[in-house]
Amino acid sequence: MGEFAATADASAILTTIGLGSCLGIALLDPGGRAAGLAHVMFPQARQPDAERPGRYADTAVTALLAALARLGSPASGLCAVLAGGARMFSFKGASGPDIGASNLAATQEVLSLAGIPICASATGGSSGRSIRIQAADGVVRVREAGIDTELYRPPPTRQGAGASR
Amino acid sequence: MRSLPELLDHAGAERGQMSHAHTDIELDALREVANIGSSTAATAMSSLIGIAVEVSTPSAYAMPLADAIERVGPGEMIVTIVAVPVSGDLDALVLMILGPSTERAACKLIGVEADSDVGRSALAELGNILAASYIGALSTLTGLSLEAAPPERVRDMLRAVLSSALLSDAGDDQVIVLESTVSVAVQECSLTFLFVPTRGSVDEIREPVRVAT
Repeated sequence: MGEFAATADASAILTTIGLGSCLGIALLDPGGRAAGLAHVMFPQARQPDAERPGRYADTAVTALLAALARLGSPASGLCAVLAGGARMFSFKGASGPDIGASNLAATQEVLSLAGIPICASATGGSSGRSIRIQAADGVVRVREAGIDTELYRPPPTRQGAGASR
Repeated sequence: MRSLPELLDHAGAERGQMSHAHTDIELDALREVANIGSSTAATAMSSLIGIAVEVSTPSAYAMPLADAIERVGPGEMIVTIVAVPVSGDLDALVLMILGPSTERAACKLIGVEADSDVGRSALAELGNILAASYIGALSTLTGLSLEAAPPERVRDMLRAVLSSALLSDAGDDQVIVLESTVSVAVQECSLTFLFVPTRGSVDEIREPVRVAT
């Protein structure tokens, strides 16, 4: 929760489990092999939190972009996959307003500003989700209500000519 | 001695430096609150099902939300959680957590079929009765006026449910959690109660408790 990671290691699997109102933001480089994943809890950072940028949608996207750039994947080639942002309880109170929807809206805005398209998403509703990314092929799987589904598979590229859709 | 809200503010400013000795004393007082609440809930449950019910020694802790959730169980474990928001002199959430075996056992004990509409609403009602007795005991102990809202029942991954219930604008640096477990001796049936005061409310229960203990 509130953390992020990026990798160019083809054997890596990036995963975050139990997303409720939290939102999983995956940034993928379909051409290259790099991938990043953040588990954001809140829409906006009230003040810069250098320690844990992964907690907030705005700072998490910035941090992921920087990490992916260091791995040789510039923002221009990336696309985003989103999962989470549910509303699991209807009461107000500790959960306050609909944090899930706010997380999603803030993320859409910051991705749009960065010029990154959203190529797949499983968001909203009232179910929790887990997200798993295989760095080797960029396939994103989502677990929701006990069922695993493939949410996104990158189109075949020059490097991955043998891969089938 | 600094009050808990002061400690929390302090922790917010200097995260990771919550190892004050004061905190243990503060948490002891809160543990007493959880003890009274869960003992009363256990008595209610025992008279409901006619079987002896045991109550664990409660624990009280102040830690980042992610760590608090980690303590409760594996993040992807499917659990049923009955949540009762509390308002009045303080705002809080009472959460009753049932694992898969407990859900079945609890339904059996109250004589309804698990995984049915009747079973689901019976579990929500059980949660309502137990949370009401928990909150009632708390109110008596502290002299605070507390009102319970209707219960909501959610069945999903543990971390998804708890984080959604407990994330608030106040942030996630430090949450105070009072945890106690109520189990039915002869069945694989153990319910975990969490009482989570919202930030700023903690002093309200701590002060009267200190006088009472």
